[in-house]
Amino acid sequence: MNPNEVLDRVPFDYVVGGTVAAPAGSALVLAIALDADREFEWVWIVGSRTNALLTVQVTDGATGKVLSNAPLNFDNWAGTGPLPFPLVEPWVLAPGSTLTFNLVSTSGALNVVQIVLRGYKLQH
Amino acid sequence: MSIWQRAGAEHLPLRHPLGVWLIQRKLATSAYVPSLQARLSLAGKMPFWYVVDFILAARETREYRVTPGSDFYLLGLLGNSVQAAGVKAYIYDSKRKQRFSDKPVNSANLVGTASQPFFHRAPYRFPALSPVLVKVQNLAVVANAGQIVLYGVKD
Repeated sequence: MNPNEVLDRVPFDYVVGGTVAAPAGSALVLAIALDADREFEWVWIVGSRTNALLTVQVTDGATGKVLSNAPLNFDNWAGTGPLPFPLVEPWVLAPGSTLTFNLVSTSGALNVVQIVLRGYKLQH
Repeated sequence: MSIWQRAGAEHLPLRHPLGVWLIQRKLATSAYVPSLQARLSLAGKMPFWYVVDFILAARETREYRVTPGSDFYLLGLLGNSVQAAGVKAYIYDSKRKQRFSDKPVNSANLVGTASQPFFHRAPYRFPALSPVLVKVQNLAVVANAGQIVLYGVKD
């Protein structure tokens, strides 16, 4: 994509959530499949959890690349609604891409998680 | 001034600030994030997080190492520790033989969190296959664990 190109940006959130089971070490795999109609410009990471003892590792399904060398503590990865984590330079994902989130809880308690990829659908 | 307006740099193409609007910095945001020129050079690169997981006994010091497989542009530091006393850490670029501080820095002064991140004003490039060393010292008198995270982009 040419960053100089004039684009119409439509605000859009991709949302995924679930509950990680109670025993420590329990895992949950969540996936977001992007709509096939538009590119998505990923700008912010927002998320919530009921317990901070949670790690996350993200995989880009289009390339198979993992976005970190090891799982991240959830609070080092996702911001909140009032204080979102900005990617600094937005990352444009192709229509139909899939992102997979591997969540592992170490708390020993149920962990209710929601992940929001906040950004814009691009209209060329 | 609206945050959607571009200030200065007339030769650069018009872009709104997108992800570099920091709520906690408000109109001072531009002083705390990479410049427009620096960000343009990052376009199209993949976001990446290098994680240093540390588990340390009381007052223990250890050195950790991560090796980027391709050129990695450091944009910011994030981290946490289980104990409130935190850790001291310093970062060393072994290729350029360059330390990022003359003494270890307390984690409270070194790293942010995803909600309140610390970004560098200029991206710093670690060449492919050049090990990044992170020396971490536990400041607590009990065992401590946590992460130092190098956030950036790579090809």
